[in-house]
Amino acid sequence: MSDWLGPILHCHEITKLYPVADGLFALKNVELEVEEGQFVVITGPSGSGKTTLLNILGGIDRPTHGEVILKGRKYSRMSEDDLALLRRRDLGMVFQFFNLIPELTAAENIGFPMRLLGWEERAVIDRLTYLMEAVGISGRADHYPMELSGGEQQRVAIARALAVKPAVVLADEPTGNLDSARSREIMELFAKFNREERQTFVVVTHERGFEEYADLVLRLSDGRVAERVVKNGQHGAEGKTERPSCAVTPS
Amino acid sequence: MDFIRLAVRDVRRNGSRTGLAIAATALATVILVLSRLVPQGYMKYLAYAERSFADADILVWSAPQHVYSKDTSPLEWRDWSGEEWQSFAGYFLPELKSKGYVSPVDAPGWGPLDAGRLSSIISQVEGVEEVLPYLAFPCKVRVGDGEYVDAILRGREFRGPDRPLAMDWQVKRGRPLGPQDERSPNALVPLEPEEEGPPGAVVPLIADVIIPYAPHLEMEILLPRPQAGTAPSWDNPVSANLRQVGAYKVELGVVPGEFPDEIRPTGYWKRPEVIVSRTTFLDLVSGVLPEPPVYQMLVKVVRHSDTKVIVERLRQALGPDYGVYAIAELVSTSGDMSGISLIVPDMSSLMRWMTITMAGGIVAASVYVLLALQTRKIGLLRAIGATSKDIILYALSAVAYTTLAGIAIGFVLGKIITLTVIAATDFTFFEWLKMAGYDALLSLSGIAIPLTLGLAVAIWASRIPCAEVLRRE
Repeated sequence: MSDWLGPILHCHEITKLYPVADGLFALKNVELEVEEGQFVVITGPSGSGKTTLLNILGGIDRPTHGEVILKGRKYSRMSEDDLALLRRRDLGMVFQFFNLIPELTAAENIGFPMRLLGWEERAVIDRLTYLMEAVGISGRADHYPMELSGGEQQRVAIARALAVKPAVVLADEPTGNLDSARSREIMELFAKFNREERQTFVVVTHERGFEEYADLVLRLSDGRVAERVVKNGQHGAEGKTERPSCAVTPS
Repeated sequence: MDFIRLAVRDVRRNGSRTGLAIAATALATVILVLSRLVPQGYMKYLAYAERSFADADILVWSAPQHVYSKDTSPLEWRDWSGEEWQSFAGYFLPELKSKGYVSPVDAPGWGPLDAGRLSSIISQVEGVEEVLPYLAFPCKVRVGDGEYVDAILRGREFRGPDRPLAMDWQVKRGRPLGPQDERSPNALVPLEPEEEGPPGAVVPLIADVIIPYAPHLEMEILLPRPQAGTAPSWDNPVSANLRQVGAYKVELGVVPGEFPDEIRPTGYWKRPEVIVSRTTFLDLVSGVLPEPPVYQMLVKVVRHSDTKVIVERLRQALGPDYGVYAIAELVSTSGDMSGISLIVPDMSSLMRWMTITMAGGIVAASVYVLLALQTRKIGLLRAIGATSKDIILYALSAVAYTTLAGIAIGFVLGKIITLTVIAATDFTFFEWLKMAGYDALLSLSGIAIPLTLGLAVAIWASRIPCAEVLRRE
């Protein structure tokens, strides 16, 4: 839990234009405010700009126009290395293809971000033990990624993303490479950490079935916010639905 | 787990990739270590028969010229105006007579040398043991009643069998000359070989002259009178008497050793030189000339393993008007007796630089491959919070680990290889050790090359847009 009072993550009029002949909009004037402890699900068909938006939120891609602010810090004023340090401290990343470091064991992968931040070894061990227990891979600590199943690898990736208690965890199609049973387990894990640790999540998925976990659903279409559904603070409880006219600032 | 440890773990866990990079670096280091040795000189006994008969490791003439690849001056073909008695050029460059040689237009060309001035310059060159003029003069030797054969009277230093390049071992009949033969009429004559070598063997021959040998046989020789501007005249020759004390045979490919009979000659150098002591020669020739002309300087080096380097030093010291040739080089290039008219002497240094460049290229390629294979991981590291500095540290650690291992292996291998060949050179074990120390420093400083290359690749790697890399999944 941070002591930040306003929206923990705010993206304002995000536009991403790819330099092709007539210019191709990946995103256009996307607005998003994420409160601390919120579970945000971004859905949309393939090519709707979900991953581009998540990359911009994570500071690994820059918008053509607009601003992203994490805990009051504007990305546009930060260098690439500042953004890397921001990711190290305040952002956890989960990818569709797990992206574990193949030369490190499961425990080492999870401990890597903590050690990067110079945590005491005792604290690292305690957090590692807790996370591995929490994601259900305690018995696989010394296994290398190639010795783990896809579901196990994604659990390790989630534990790694959560390791340093970041402000926000960004997950890009975290279930995209798993079967439906494993996918639901992963989403349940996210929900568990959101519920128990008030961890903020922004999850990109093309499966609308997972919207039930969200406090806020952003439905993208052709790079624009087609629909924004605000739930009532409880997963699965339908709340206010906003149409594009109020979600998207006209260009 | 910091980035250095991560890099070390990475190179250890990726055996084939790391093995390839280490092997490439080791190969490059072996090449570098060997390239330091190879261009320096020749094996101890290479062309030993020719060298000991010539009493030199290096020959200096006024022509043919060395044509350097970097020279821009116009060249021309010239006829060779020399005579057999003046030098060994006709033996080592057999096509000189028929084809001539390539020379810069403004070079003076073939002619007598200023032996005093050249001796003074050559003796100051590092690595030169001794420099002597080739004392030779044409003569006729009486072989029967009123029958004379053309030969070459040669004066040579004789200081005993232990002197470097002594030709005592080539004296097959009678005895060699020694210090006691100064100013005496004692002479050595060529011995006609009973056989012509193995079938197909090269039998260099500049004159098919047979001078009968018998111990203490008195032998009359005639020396020509000099004539201004033309060849010496035989109209009114000077006569002198010599006494045969021994006969020599120049067996090519044979070296003095414990079991010389086990080495079969590959051929014979049948040069009709009647050899006397240096003082005897000067006394004889003073009857026709106050000072005999010198067309060839004989240079002995301290160590044959450094001959190439010394040749280059001599060429620098003497300038472009002189031809400086290692006998070993002449023998190897004219081994098939087709002869050479054009030598590009700076080719060896070009080859050396090409070798070093190739070694650097191997290391650069392996460093690049080492890192280029990891762009995805580098993108991932960036995504989870690695800064440019972290990536550079990671990449350089991987490069340093593999190249240090490769350099260490390559250095040891290279030195072992050189150790196996020093028996054939005149380097001693202690000199090898000293060179090994120097090579170790050189190899260690060589780590700067892959690290510099690695830094460039690492900076490139640190700028890989991680969004791009992660998108390519």
